[in-house]
Amino acid sequence: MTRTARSTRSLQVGFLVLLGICAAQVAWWVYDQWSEGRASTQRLEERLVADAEAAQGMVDAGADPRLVAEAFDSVVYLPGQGLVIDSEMREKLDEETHRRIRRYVWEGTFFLVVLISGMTVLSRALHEESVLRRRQQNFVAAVGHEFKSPLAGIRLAAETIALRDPEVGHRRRLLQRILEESDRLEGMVANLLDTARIEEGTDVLMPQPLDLGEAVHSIFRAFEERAELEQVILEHDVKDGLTVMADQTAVTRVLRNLVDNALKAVRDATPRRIQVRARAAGEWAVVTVADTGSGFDPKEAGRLFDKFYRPGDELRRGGQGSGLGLYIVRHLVERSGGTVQAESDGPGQGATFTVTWPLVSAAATTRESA
Amino acid sequence: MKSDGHQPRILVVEDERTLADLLQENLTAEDYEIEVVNDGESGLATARRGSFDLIILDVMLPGIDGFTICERLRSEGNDVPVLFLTAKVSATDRVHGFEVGGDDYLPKPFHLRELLLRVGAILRRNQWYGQATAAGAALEFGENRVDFRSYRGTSWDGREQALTYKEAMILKVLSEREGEVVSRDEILQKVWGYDVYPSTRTIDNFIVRLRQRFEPNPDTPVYLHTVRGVGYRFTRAGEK
Repeated sequence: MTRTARSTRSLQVGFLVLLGICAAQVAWWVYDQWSEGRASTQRLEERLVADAEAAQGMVDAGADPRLVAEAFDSVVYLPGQGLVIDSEMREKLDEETHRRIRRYVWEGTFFLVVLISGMTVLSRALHEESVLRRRQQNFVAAVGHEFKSPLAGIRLAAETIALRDPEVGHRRRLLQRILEESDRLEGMVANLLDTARIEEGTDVLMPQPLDLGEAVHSIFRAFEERAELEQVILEHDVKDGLTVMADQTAVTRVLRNLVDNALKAVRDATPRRIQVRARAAGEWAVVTVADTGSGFDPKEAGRLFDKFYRPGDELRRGGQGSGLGLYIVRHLVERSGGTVQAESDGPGQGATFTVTWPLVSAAATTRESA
Repeated sequence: MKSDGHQPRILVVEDERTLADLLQENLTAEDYEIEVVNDGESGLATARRGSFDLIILDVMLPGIDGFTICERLRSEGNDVPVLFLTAKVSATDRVHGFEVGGDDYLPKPFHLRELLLRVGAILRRNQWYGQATAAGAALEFGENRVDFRSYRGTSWDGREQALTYKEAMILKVLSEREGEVVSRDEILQKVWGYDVYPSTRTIDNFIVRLRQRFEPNPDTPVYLHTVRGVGYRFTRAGEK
């Protein structure tokens, strides 16, 4: 992790140095042109003055000023003023010098802008890659933790049974622990496989009319025991007759991930409450999963759904979560034509996740049943 | 410690409920007195408040992480032995665990019997140090003086020296066998445990620190001698 960050930083520093050198180069070109222009102007000016003096000499020697002026390009004869340097010549000279300097300034600026944009794009890409790599490394650590913790629990419970030979009631409680930890492992494996399928593009969704109320009820039944054990109040308020067009497994996985996240979030909160609501809004079924748990910084709301993203510091986390759950949620919801968003007033302020799925309209339902 | 009637007190800081509960059950069954807390802040507060013989400390904790807790306790002069119990198993993590003052490091998932053995070993080491210092509480060599019970001493140049628990233990091991060569492995076994953790190089670092404290010229030691390829030898009278 640090090695990648360091190499990215040294690349960025390298770019900056290069940029500095290029800028200096362009500045030098402009200066060089300007001083070259000035020198040639001066040379020409000297020639003009010399011409004028020569012409004047000829006039002083008795030549006709009109004829002399015709012989010299740079000198004109003005009645009353005698021979003078042609002002048009001088203006042309100045104009030429300025035009050249302007061209170099423009070209130099364009060159620098292209260079800066190119480097910005490149450096941003490098930065993004290093962020992703860091997340991936954190992910490996997190997955390690997610697998090892339940495994340690299973192992310890089994060894306790073997070593202590506890009485039946206690033995049953230990076995219950083993089952719970196995469920945790199973969830983790499911998330990993889902992610792999998403990455490979081999996950197949079969949208069909689905009773949302039924789906919420079945999720609640699955989490009832755990909620009771962890003293969490699980509430739901689902309007009747909400039929959505979505893949059943996908809806179940989405709800399961959101409720599981909420259960993790409320672990150290008071009160521990999770509310699941579902209602119709126009052509959409809107499901909200609100908890009173740890919440998150509102600035992180968008990133929560990124793959491997886990808010906060690696060591100081509750230790649960792989950074895959919400990534899967977003994918499954969006594939069904729905949306998902996260809201929180800040750390410790609880969080609300809102998912929408397309409703099967009453007309469509009638048509299908007919 | 069980022999002198004192029931060892162990603090378990672990946020995984299943592990916390089962550790409590098993350690209680081994006749230890157990207190369990589930997050970093209460872990640190409880460790500061109670007189524990051992802390079993998870690394990834809500609030304050285990490494920081250990580091803070050490900086406050709290030398209670710490056993890290964690899913973080890379060599860097282990080394970090020892650097912040941990005494042992057990990766998850662990074997219950191994955990119990390690806990027993750490507690026995404490007991050894307690008994050894009761027998010889003070050590004088040259113009240096060390009191093993308070970990304090005065060096040849008159400076006050506050030793760490590990430094005191290493000095105790060497001084108990004055004049003899003590191998690095022996020191590891006596001071860290029955298993060879961390690397024997760690001992070299501790010896360097002891020399800086007590040798008039740490580069040419007269009390703490290196016996190349074997270990260390302590002489009470300065020896070139």
